[in-house]
Amino acid sequence: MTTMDGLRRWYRWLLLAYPRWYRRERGAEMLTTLLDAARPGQRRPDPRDALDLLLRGGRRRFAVPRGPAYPAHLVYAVAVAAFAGLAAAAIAGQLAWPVAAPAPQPVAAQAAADTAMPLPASGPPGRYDDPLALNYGVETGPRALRQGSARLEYNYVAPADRPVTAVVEQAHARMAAAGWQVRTLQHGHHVAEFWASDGGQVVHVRGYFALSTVDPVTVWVYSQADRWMTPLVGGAGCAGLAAGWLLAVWTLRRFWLHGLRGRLVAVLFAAPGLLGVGVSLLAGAYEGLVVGLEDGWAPNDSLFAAAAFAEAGPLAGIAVAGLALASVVLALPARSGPPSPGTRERLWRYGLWSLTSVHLAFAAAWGLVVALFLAHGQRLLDANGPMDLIPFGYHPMNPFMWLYATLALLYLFGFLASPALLSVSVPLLVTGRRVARAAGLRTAWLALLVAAVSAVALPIAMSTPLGHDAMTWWLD
Amino acid sequence: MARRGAARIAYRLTAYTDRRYVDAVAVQEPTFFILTALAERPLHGYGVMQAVGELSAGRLTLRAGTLYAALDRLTDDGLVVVDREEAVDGRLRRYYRLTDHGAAELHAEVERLRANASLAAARLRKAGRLRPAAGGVG
Repeated sequence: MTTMDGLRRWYRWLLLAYPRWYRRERGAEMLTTLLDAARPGQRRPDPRDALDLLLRGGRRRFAVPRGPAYPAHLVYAVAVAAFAGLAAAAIAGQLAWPVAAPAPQPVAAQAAADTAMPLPASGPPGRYDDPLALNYGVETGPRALRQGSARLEYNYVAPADRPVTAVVEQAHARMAAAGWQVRTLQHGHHVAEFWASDGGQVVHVRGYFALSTVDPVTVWVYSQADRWMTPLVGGAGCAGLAAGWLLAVWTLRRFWLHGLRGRLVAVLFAAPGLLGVGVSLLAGAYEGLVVGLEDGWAPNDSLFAAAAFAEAGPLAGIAVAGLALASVVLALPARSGPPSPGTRERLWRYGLWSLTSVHLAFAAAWGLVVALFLAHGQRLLDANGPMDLIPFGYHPMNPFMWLYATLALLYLFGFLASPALLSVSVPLLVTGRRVARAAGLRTAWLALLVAAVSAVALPIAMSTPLGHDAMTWWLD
Repeated sequence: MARRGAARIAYRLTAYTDRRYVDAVAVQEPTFFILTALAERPLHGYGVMQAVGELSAGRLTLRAGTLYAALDRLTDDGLVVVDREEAVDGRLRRYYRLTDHGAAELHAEVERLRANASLAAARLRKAGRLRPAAGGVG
C-alpha cells in the first residue's frame, strides 16, 4: 500500500461525515482536492483538515435546503424536530418511569405503615398510580423526597378517646424514633400531616378531624424515584430532536426531487400530520409551562412530554401517521430529468381537483354529522354524546375510532378553514376559466365551482336550527 | 446621519448591475477571495485554495471542507457555476467559473470596500493623520 493509498483511505473515512447524497455529488472531487493539497509523503490527514471535514460534514447533514421556500423549510424542520424530541422524551419517560420509580414492595410498605400507625387498618391497602398528574400542589409533597407516583394507601380510624392530631403527632414521634427522616408536622384546616423518608421509601401520614363522625387517618407509602430519570428523558429528547431535524432535512430534499404528483401526495399526507404536530406541540408547551411554573422539580415532571401526548390523544397518532406516510411517499424513487412539457396543465388539473376534494370533504363531513344526528342524536342526547356511536369503544387500536377522529377533524377544521380555502378557490375560478377550457379541464373547473358553492352554503347551514343542534350534539 | 442614509440608498440604487439586484451586504473575506480567485479564469478546487493563499499573501488558508461549503453557497446563489470536469489519472477535477451575477457581486463588493476605504482616508486626512503608504488609499 503506497502512502497515497493510506491517505486516500483516511480521507474517504472522514468524508463519511457528509450525507450520502452529497458524497455522490462531491465526494470524488473533494477527495481529489484533498489529495492535491497533501504534502509530499503525508501519511495522515492534518488534524485541522480532519476537524474541518467532520464539522462541515455534520453541518451539511443538518443543513436545511435553501431556495425560495427557505423560511417554510425552516418552520417545517423546527416543528418536526420539536415533535420528534417531544415524542422521544414521552416514550423514554413512559418506559423508564416504572423502573425509576417502581411500585412499593407490599411487605416493606406494610412495615413502614405499621411503624407510623400501630392501629388495625380499615381494610386492605389500596393501590394508586397517576404518573401523568403533574403539579397537583401540596399533594406531591416536598420535592426533595423524590417520591414516585405509585403508592399503597392504608386507611385507619382514630380511636374515639384520642384526637386525630394526637394520633398523627404520635406517628410523627414514632417514625423519628425508628430512624426515619421526618419533615415538620403541619396543621391545616381539618388536617394534620407530615412526610418522612428512609432507605428509598417515602411515607405520607395525614389525619382529618371534625369533618364527620369518625376521624380518618391515611398513610401512603411510596418508593423513591431514581435520580437518572430526568437526564435520561432529557437525553432522549435531545436525540429525538436531532433525529427529527435530520428526517425533516431529508424529506425536504426528497420533496423537491419529486414531480408534482409526488409532492401533492406527500403534502396530502403531511398536512393532517402537521396539524397533529401543531396540537401536540401546543400541549407540550402547556405541560412544560405547568411543570416550569411549579415550585421545584418533582421526579414525574420529566413525564411532561408523555402528559402532552396523552392530552393530544389521537391527534398525536395522526401526526405520526401523517409524517410517516409522507416520508414513505418521498422515499419512493423520484423522477429524473427536466419536467415534461405538460407540467402547467397538470398543475392546473391537480390544483382544481385538490381544492375540489378538500371543499367536498368538509361538506361531506358536515352532511355525515347531520345525518348521524338525525339518525341517532335524539336517542343519545342524554348519553355520553356522539362517541357512543364508535363500535367497540374509544380506543387507539380501534380503526373505527380513527374514522371518528378523521370525521371530527374534517367537521371542525372544515368549519374554520372553509372561508380561508374560498379565498384561494374563488380567484382560481375567476382567473382560471379560460385556462381550464383551453386545457380541457372544464369538468374540473365546474366541479370546483360546485365545491365552492358548498363551502359558501356550509356556514349558512351551520347557522340553521338543525345545523346548530347537530353542532351542539357533536361538540358535547 | 441623514447623509449616510442617503449615501446608502444611492449605493443601493447603483447596486443594480446586469439587470439583477446585487445585495450590498458585505461578503466574508474567504468568499471575497474565492470570487477574486475565479475572476480571472476558471479554477478547480485545489487551484482555488492555492489562489486564495497567494491573493491573501498567505494570511488565509482555505481547508477543503470550508472551500466546498463556500462553493455550495456561491453555486446556490448563482455567483459561481461549474465550468467543466476533467479526469486526470482517475481523479475527478471540477472547474468553477464566476457568472455575470458573481462578477457583479464582486464588483459591488469592490465598490463598497473602495467607498469605505475612501471614507476612512478622508477622515484621517481631515485630522492630519494620514501617512503616505506604498500603494496607499486616498
